[in-house]
Amino acid sequence: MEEKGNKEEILVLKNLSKSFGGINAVEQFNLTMEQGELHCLIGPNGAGKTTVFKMIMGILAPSSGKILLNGEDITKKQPKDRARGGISIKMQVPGLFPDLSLKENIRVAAQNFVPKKELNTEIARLIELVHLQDVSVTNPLVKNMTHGQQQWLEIAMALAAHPKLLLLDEPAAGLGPEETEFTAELIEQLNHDGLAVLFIEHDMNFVKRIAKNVTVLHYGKKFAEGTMEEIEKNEDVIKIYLGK
Amino acid sequence: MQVGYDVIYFIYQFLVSTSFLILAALGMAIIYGMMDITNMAQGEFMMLGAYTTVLLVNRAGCPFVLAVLCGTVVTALFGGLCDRLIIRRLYGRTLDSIVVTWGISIILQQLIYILFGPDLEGISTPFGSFKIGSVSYSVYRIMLIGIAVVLVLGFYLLFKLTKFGLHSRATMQNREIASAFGVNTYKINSLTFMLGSALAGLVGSLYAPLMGITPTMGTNFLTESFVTVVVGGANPLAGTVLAGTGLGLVEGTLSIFYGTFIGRIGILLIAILSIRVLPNGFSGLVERNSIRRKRR
Amino acid sequence: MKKITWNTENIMAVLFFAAAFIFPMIFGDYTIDNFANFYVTILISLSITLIWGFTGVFSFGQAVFYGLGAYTYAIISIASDGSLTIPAVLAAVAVAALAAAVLGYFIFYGRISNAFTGIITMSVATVMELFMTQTSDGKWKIFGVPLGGFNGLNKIPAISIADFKFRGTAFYLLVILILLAVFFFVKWIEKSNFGYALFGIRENKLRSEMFGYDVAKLQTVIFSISGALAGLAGALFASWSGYVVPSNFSVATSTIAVVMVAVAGRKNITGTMIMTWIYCWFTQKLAATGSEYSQLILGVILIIAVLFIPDGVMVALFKKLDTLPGKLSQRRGG
Repeated sequence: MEEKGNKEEILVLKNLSKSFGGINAVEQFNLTMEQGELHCLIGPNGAGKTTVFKMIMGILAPSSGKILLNGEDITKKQPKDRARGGISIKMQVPGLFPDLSLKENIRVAAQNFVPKKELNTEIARLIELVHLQDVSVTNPLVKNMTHGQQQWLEIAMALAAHPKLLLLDEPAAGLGPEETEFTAELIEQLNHDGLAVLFIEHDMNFVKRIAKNVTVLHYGKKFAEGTMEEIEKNEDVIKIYLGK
Repeated sequence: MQVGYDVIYFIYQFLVSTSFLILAALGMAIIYGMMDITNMAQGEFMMLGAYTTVLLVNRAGCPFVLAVLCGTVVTALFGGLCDRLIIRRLYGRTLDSIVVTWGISIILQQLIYILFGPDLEGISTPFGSFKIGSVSYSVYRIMLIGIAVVLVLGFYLLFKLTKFGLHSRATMQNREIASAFGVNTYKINSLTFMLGSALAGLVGSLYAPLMGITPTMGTNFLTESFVTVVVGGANPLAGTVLAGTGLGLVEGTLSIFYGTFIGRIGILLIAILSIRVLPNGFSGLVERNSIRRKRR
Repeated sequence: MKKITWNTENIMAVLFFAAAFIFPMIFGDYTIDNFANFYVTILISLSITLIWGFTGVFSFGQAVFYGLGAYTYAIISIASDGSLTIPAVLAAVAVAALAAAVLGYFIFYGRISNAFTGIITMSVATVMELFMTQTSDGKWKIFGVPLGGFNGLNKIPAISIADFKFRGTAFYLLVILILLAVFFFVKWIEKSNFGYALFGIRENKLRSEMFGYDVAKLQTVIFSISGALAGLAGALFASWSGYVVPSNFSVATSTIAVVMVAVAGRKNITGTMIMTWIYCWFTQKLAATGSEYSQLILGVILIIAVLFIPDGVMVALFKKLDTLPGKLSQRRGG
């Protein structure tokens, strides 16, 4: 169990638990992600998925357990250090800066990670990556952008940190079919380029479309784990979740 | 024998400080705890209560107890008016609500100054005093200690037993879910704000005989109520009572040895230190905020 | 990025400073001496823009740091019998910056909710005022200068270099030059990475942290810079008026500045400067008739502005002028 320092594993969660005033939101949760893996976390509402994300990012401190990033224990680190250490997140509730413009949002996200001279090029690159070039011509305030545009902007901002591990909390929520398809392609592309992605999603078609490995959370505990095919055939999972 | 007298005097001083801290903070704590609004005009609401009481007693010859009641009602109505006209538009905009309530406090101070001048003749403390040893004790201040106890118990029962209490606790935990379950959160907020205002009016009226009646008297309550709310943290009742007791001990002790001004500085310093050094004393606030953000 | 766009705001800024330099040629000494204090008030407004408009922290600390700056300047310049006035100004800025850094450390590293920053700073201001008021007996002395209690300190020497005393128009021009420097400093912050980091914190503290920002540190730094600016304003005030009193610590000293920042537009320094100036001028005109109403009017204006024009009057006005078809901005477009 003491195999610390395994560089092959980008993320390891060991016996991670979190309780809120006696309620166990997450209990003894274990997860291992390889470099470049595309992994999905599913589970019914209130299963503790977002809580797991918040612990990985350092927004919530775990009640017990450990978090390793590239073999290094980051359990006690602050969010800012985790961000600089290579974890990026797109949160479920839009985490944008509503009164700043599109480009300004990306600038705030990017300026810690590129030299000032390259900032404008980097902003342009990120805008292109999520196909927001057309919108960026008028450079609107973010609060005036559509929901889909905001979702992609958030992904672009999460990528601005040049992460090794990208956390996406419901990247397809509230998107139309075409928008969803574009999001799926984007995530696949990023993963293809070597980025490890861990995401939470409710839209099962979306999950089936892109996920290779799936972990199912139920009442804060790991309920099942495996490839997409295995999970789809797992009767217990169907009972609690897929079948509903 | 002298030691006994000293102990009695110390306990008295401690309870006087504690009851003042709790009474000054209770209204603010309830408004902050339930609505996430810091009412910067809370001190001026107390001033309003005090002015009503003093004017009724001095100019209309109204009995003190009735005047206190009127002070409470007038302030509650004024609070309701402020809520209806202004505060209501700012639910959820924490920063703007601070600015606006501060605007209300400026207006109140100046309006009272224009209407009644720089000060009013005070009213005498009712019910006299008695002596133990060489120290005399004010019956009225002891009554205030009792009133603090009764109010805290009353609010405890209100929040635990009534429908309003249930709904307001639900609103405090999660506004969207509460309203999804049919709680009229606007109404709850309005009632809460009026309740906080009524408390301010009551406390201002009660302390009217003990203070100089000036347009800026509200600021005398400000530091005390703030430190109690900050140190108290999450729970408007338990937090306020605990913090009031702890700070009352500090302030009472410092006041006996070094005077009231040092007592006041002492608790302010403790509050600022406690924010940083004792995150647990304060964690209630932080934790609740993060839970509130976390909820979906 | 270096290119200046000639929008309404920048044109107004140029006009504002041009006017400031022209005034001494038009108005008499008495008026110019009065104007000098307007520009000192504008310095307070800018310090509030930094902390409130840019960073989203509402604080009454400005009153504390302004008072500290004024007293520091007064004490050192009196103790040195007018020979150390420039060091006194620098000391005033340093003391204010340090006090702000210490207070900011507790507030921001304590992760206190925004709701309480206002009250903490207000309490500190109130206690400072009370403290200064009770220093009338002789035992309260710094560098042999008695603090003077309620009456404060007076006969404060004016800022001087060698034998030249900055009074009247000379002082006025000194203030304008300082304001110009501060203006460019704030403009620089507005365009810098530091500035954008602050905007991010204003909009979403938690999210900023996840982009790798040390939020508490940045907040403490800007709080300290803003405190230094308020301290500078306090020192200039002390030199201008020749006296300081405990009520310099009272929240009322920064009331005008806060309200003007709210009304003009929290994020717009040019608008804030112009608005503050206009207000100072108006109150001076009105002073003879009813100054007791000025606080009342300020309170009402503040509430109306926050409720109905959250972006600010000046900002709205600038936008209007910017979009006037074929007008100013396009003719000068560059």
